Amino acid sequence: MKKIFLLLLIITLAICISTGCAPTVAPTPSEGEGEGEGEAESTGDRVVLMELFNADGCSASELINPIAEDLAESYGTGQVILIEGAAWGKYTTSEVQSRFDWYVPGTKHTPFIAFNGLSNTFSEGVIGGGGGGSTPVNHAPTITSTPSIIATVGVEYNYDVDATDPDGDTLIYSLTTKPTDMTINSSSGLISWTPTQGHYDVVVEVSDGSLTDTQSFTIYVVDQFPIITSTPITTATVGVEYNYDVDATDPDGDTLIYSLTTKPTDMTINSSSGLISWTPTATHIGDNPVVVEVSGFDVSTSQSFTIVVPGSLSGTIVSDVGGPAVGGSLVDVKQGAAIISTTTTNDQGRFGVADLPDGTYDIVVTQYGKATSKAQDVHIISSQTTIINLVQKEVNVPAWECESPAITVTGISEGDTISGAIAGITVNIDDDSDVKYIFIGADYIPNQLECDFAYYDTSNVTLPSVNTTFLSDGDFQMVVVAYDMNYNRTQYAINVIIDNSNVGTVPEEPEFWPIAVTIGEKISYFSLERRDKFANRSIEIDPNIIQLAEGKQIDLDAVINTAENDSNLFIKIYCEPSSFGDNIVGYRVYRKFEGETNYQYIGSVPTYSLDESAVYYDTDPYLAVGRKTFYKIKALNAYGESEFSYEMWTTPLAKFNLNLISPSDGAVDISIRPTLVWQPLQEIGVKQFYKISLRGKNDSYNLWEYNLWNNTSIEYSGSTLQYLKIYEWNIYEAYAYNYDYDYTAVSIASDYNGSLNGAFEFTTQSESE
Amino acid sequence: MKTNRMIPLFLLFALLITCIFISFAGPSTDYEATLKAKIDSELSRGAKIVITATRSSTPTTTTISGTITNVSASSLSDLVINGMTIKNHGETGFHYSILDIFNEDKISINTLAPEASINYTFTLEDINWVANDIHGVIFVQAPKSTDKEVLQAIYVE
Repeated sequence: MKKIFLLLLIITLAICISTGCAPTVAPTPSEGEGEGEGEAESTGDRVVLMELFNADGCSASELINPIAEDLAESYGTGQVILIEGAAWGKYTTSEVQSRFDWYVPGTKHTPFIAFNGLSNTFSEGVIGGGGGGSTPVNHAPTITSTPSIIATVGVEYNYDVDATDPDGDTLIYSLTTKPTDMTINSSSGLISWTPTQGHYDVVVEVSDGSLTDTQSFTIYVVDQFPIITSTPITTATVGVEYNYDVDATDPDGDTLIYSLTTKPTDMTINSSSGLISWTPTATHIGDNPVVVEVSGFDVSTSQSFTIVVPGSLSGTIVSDVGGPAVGGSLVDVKQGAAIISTTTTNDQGRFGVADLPDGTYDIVVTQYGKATSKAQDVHIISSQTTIINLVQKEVNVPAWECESPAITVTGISEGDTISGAIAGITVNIDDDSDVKYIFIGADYIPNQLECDFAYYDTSNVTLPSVNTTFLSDGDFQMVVVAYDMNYNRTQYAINVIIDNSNVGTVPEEPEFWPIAVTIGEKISYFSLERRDKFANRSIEIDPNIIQLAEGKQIDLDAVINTAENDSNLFIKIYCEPSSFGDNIVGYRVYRKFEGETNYQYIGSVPTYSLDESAVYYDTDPYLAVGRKTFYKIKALNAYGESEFSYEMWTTPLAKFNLNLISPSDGAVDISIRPTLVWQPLQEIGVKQFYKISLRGKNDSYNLWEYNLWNNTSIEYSGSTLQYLKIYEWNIYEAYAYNYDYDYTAVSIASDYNGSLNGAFEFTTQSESE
Repeated sequence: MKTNRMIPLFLLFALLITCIFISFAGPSTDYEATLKAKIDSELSRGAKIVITATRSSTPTTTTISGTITNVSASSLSDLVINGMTIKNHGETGFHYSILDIFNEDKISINTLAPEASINYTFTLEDINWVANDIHGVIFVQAPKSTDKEVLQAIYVE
């Protein structure tokens, strides 16, 4: 018996020695000194921050939790600091979730412990919570960076692939699909390549030695634009040959082809040399717009200019406003009954008279079968070219007379300098037949005119007060047009000078802020405008732009507003006055990309009424995810434009999508207080917003809605659910934001349209459970 | 003789019961050993940063301030100073559950040269540190590093 006891004692001691590990008790840090104060200082030794991610009620968590706590206490906080957070249920906050989210991969493992961040990990597989093995579970790495998909011929392309590995494994980068000569640094993930023409599929793979993650994308290589180096000649003389030799170079060395996309009649260009040749006639007197285009491999550059052919009188006759040209009409230049000069319109409806003495003339246009059109009292100065464009309609009744009306205007005279409000202007029409209608108007400037083109059906009109305050200073033309019953027409222009220089000042610099908006695939839609811009720049359609799914709409909240006519990536620039009373009528928007020196004017947006804010949409195809974009704006009023505003910038976010996780679709036996869990497909922005909904199946209203920031799970907190009933849940709004003072970029995963894989249905448990 | 035989038997059974208990807890002892090995692995890496922390509290506001110093031989880059508050829930829950993370107030440091120091302050509003038995952690992390390493941490009573 004694030997048996002795044997048992030896066995027992052996077991104890093999399982027990007396921990080293380290000294604790200095204690707090008195109530309300405390001081501590770390020594030169490293302190281990042990972060334990638990799940309240999880058996594996309950097993490891006391072990971790006892171990931490045995070391003391001078060596080991333990903190705990929960996957769901109690003891979790959005901050806890966000901290654990970045190192707990994919589907959360509970429990999961990170020592000093990810330096060492200890996960579910080790402790048996998910399978009970003794070998640590390896987790796949994840590529976290977003590729640049636009490259330029001959300009080095770089993309630094970033990836994380939850286990802290050493990662190896490689390219499994790539264009020739593209390389990747296997350690850093830096892709380098000098692009050539075309578009190329790329697949990059990151491996931790056993598990991998891949990222596929297509790079679109843009040709470099030809550069036109010559300066156009902008004057020509009737009857004298005009020559301009267009010179251009191409950075890629492409063969260049020259063409004219806009030109006067008879102008030609040598497609190889770029030599433009032309002999103007009298019909070319005045301005002759020209656009020459130089094409490289698949992109082109154009140069626009106007050639002025001097002469006394020039004009174009059309059959209606915006209608086709009227060729073959006789144009008489008259003083009283005397015809001073006669010419004929060409096929483009143009006419010209080279030499006319200074004086006042009537320009009378006639043609058999058409009504007579007359410009009355045209003031011609021989050293200038006067432009007279007229409408010549089809005659109403050929048997009727073809004499144009005579117009008399009182209260304002040619050459007057006017300011402020003008009253007492009267227009009288004299004609053999009845007056059909009169138009009285001016050069149309949106939102600036008190006196728009107004229609009257009487022969004697006294205008209401005309307020010039909102008109730009300088030359201004008041126009009266009268038609008689046979469509004979007279046009009478009075040239005045507006001078409100003593009346007002330019606006103050306006306020503005840009917001980059990226819309996820589920609700993104295709913009014809953006497509056309891509096409014009010979860029193939961005595969990331997905056509809007049937029935989907963009209906964003007050922060984002409506995005109609835009694309899945655009930047909204909100412009508003810095003070009221400046009478702002619009804003001009200027932009530059990071790395560029100068701002470029990109467009303007009018206000609907004075001093209102306005939104400009920048949909340029060169906007790109991760491309920092800078803006400045100016405000406009009748007296000019403001100084530049301050500079602001934004950087578009990548696409943001998410999947519903739990309760899974079709799940049964679910608690009547379920915890709803979802998972973004990629970490986007610094802040994420979710709007969660839950409703009975086939109900037309939501039983529960909940707004949540920076969290990916929530316990249902609405009215009590019924047992054994089918419910559906969804996330019908989900945005990711970046912000500084305010939101600067937003990526929209869901906007009243549900998650990528939702809505999910589940059935609650029976009451007996 | 009886007396001589009874004493070893008592001791033996007591020892046996203890060891059976430990033996049943065998798997958890494995986990403890695994955890301990990882802790020791981290401890053996030595410190690159030294942190000091001073806390002062009123019934409504707590301020934690201090200094971090680079005690390594090379510059450290892309660091953040961050912190957390912890609540001990005793037997009813996690002993060290996180109440808050100072994520929105974390301090970013581009580069910290050898022997260089930087002061920090975190002001926590609407928190009664003493009455609610709140504790805290200040830590310095390199979130852009491959393993998002926490270089040093300090416990604040």
